[in-house]
Amino acid sequence: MYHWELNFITFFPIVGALIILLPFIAKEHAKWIALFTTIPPFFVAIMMYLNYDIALAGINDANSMQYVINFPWIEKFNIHYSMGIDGLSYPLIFLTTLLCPICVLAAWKIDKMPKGFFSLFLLLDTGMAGTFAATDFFLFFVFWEVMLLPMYFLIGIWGGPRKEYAAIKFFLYTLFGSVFMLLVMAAFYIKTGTFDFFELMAKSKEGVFGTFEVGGFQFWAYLGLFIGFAIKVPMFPFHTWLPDAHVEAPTSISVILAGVLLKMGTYGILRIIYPILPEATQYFATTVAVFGAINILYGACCAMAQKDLKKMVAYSSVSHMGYVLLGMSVLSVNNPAGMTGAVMQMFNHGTITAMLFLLVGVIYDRAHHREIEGFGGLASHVPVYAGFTTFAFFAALGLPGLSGFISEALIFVGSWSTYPTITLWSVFGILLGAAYLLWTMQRVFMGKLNTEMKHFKDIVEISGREKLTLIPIGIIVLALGIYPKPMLDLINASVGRLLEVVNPAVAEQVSQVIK
Amino acid sequence: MNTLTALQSVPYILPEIILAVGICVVFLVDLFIKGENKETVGITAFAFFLAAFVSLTVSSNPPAFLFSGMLVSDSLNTYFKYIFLTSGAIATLISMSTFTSRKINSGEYYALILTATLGTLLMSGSSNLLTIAMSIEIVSIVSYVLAGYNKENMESSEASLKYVLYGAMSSGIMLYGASILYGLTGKLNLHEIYIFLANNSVSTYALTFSVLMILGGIGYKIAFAPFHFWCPDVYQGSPTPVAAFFSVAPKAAGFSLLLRFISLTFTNDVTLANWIPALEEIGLREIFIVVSVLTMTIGNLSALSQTNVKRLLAYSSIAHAGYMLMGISALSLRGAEAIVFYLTTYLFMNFGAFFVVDYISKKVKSEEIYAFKGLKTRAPFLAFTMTVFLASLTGLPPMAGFVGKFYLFSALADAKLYLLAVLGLLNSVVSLFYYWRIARAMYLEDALTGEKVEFELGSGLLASVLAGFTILLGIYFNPLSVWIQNSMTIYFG
Repeated sequence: MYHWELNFITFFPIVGALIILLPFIAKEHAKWIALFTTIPPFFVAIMMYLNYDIALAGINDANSMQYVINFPWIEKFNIHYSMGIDGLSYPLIFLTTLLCPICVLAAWKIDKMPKGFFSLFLLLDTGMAGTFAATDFFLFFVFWEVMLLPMYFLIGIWGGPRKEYAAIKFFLYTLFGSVFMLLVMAAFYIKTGTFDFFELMAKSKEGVFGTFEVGGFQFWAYLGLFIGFAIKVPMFPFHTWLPDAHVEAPTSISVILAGVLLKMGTYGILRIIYPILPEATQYFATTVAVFGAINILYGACCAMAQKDLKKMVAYSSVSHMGYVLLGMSVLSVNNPAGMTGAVMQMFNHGTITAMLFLLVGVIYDRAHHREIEGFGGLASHVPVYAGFTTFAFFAALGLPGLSGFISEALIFVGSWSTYPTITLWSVFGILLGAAYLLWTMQRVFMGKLNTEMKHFKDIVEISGREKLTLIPIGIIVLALGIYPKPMLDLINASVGRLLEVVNPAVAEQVSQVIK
Repeated sequence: MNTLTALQSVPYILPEIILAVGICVVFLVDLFIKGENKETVGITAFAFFLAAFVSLTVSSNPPAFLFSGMLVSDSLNTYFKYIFLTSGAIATLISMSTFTSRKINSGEYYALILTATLGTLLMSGSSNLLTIAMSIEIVSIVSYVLAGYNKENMESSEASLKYVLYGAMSSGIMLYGASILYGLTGKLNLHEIYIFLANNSVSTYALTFSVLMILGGIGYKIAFAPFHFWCPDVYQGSPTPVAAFFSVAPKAAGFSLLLRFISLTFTNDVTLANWIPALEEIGLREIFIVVSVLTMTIGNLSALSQTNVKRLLAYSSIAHAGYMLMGISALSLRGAEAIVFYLTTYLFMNFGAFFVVDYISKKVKSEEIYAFKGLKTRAPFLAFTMTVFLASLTGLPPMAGFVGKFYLFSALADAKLYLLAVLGLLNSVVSLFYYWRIARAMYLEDALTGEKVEFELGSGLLASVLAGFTILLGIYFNPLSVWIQNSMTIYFG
């Protein structure tokens, strides 16, 4: 059967971009076209969910991937145009298709070259969806890099005061990481003659890459790939591009950056490094856990010190991505909680941080500044806005009943048995998270209304369009917080398989015990 | 060994003959053209490039040594001829679209371009030390004149003089090296030199010495370090279409000559695997590794601080020569294939970048980066194509330049030269910084004046064809890959 869904999700936005660029399309219509080319992929994604078979694991088994598209692309190099989804990639594709129309709505008021903005945005959408859907390393890499150009221009043209600096910094960091990925990809190809993820995994299992040794091929291949992905996560000490990029980027681009782009780093690690280089993964697991803990604590401390609301949210992303790193470094077949939590946290952080950035954007549009100290007592002035913000802040600090709690709890449950000390330190991250979020809330919303604040007259209640961007995400955050089972069911099979692939010996034992 | 006499060889050099006829015809046409009708000469020259191109596609000659072993004809040579003819034709089109005065747009100019192209065709087919020297001289002497073609411009004269001095020096070195090689072996034909070296032992020192000197002569055409010093001054001073031509055709010819020289003289094997015993201990690979690292690093680091776009592109072309030299260091068929592929993509992206620079600098009367400010509103289409070329030069997918880089790095991974590959990759990250200064000026900064840059249909068409190939070869390069793979047969007799 021919599957068109992933092609549609990936390339429909580009069709929109081309239509927008037609000379006779008026500037005012660009956003409408963008909206109508980002909404259909969302419905296709929902449709895919309805026909999704949760029993199929995917990961290293090409036959249990779903919605597979596969045909030869460059025969000379055995490169295939192949796509497919499993429990690892589907949540992120759903997230992408969900956030894209929301970001178009958030960018509704852009009046500087809207045709350029929305066509670049749609190109970015294609790159993101393609990265999550690709099951061929070459295709993955092309999509991965395709995102750089639009991102550079979106930050550089429509950004804040230091946009040029932030844009080139983002570009240089990401390119620096991806060139190593390119080299490892070329080396994989030379050793195996294939780019297909599943064949690479099979060849690796056969021992094409030799046995793992420190300083050997697998060691350096792991580091090469990991640096590329870690920059995107961003893992400490490669995180310094993130605050700059976030602060300067326009609201909708920040949402995409934090909501989707950061996940590509962790997704790449789980999709490519883990199953292809399992021994190296085992060797480096503790290191990754330590860096995860550093991310959690360092990000939280930095967030606490920020005076700029958006920078605070940006550092909270660094902190929250640390949970993902910590969770996915728990490589035990018998204890899948950490990995499950990590995969879930990727999705949950995508939704929660999107809300946070949207809310920062709402206040920035009105007040034209983001100084935390420059507000005060807004709760009485704009109560609905305050309500939304409180909801998002509580979700971010992991309040039970909201989705962030589930994934963070799972991560700690998982990591406790494997890395007790690291977990103990990381738990302080939760405390710090609560501290900086509540403290920010106190300074912005509580106390006496500060009528002296800049542009006080412009600060009006949140508009209908803005509510429309927040409510769908809010519903998902609440629903997954109360009833996470659909999400867990979706990822369970894949997470289990991933852990088996990373622990071939243990998985063997377990299956023998069952026999 | 299939060696043909002069008369038998004629069908093999049809493109060369067509170009030679073209040189004469262009002069004649120029004589009979009156007034300001400046297009005709250029169109005539273009027609001859086209005719040579067509003659190449229709002819199918088996590989052979021509003119009693002075030239060689094989599929590698044929492929390179396509590259040279295409670059000659593009240079002609760029000249026609941007040269405004009849004084420059004359018969001599196009005749010189045709001659330079003829020289590159001969360079890639040379299999004899004499024809190598002669064909390099054809290209060089014509280039000296072309570099100084802006007669009123002091910089152009300076460029020409510098070029002559460097060129004379390196030709001298090369001839000296060739004479030592001749003295050692008593042969001029590269293949006969191979046979002699494989069966007799010669002084390794003398052999190394002569090989390095010959490489120096070729290196000057490719502009690899430390023979690159002429490059920025000459590119900056020459008329821009000429600089664009210099950056592609002689460089490609140099690489084709380098490949043939190494494979024919020392290995007798297309995979560059079976070295003659005398050369195994020289460490040719190490020499090329050092040279390529030096070339790309010097090129990239010097480009960082340039404010003149042409000079920036000159340094960038040095850096690209360095990338391609990495392919030579691999000393493998894969490496050679990578170079040929890279050159093909480089042809489109570099000509494209030079063309946009030429067009814009003619219109705004400045070659500095700030002249590109706000091009997004002043010339939106050209700014877009320039972005495509810059992205491709940086090596970002889905542009052709990325595939070229992928080819090179897989060749390096194959040869297990990982450290060299890492240095090359870091260099390409550095290159992002200076290429993107142009993109930043075009898109992120506001124009000095709101005045639009006049758009000409022909120029827009040329830019879109070049950009089209740059994108197409990045997205679907299978046919080209297969073509190159089939072209990688070197005739050893």
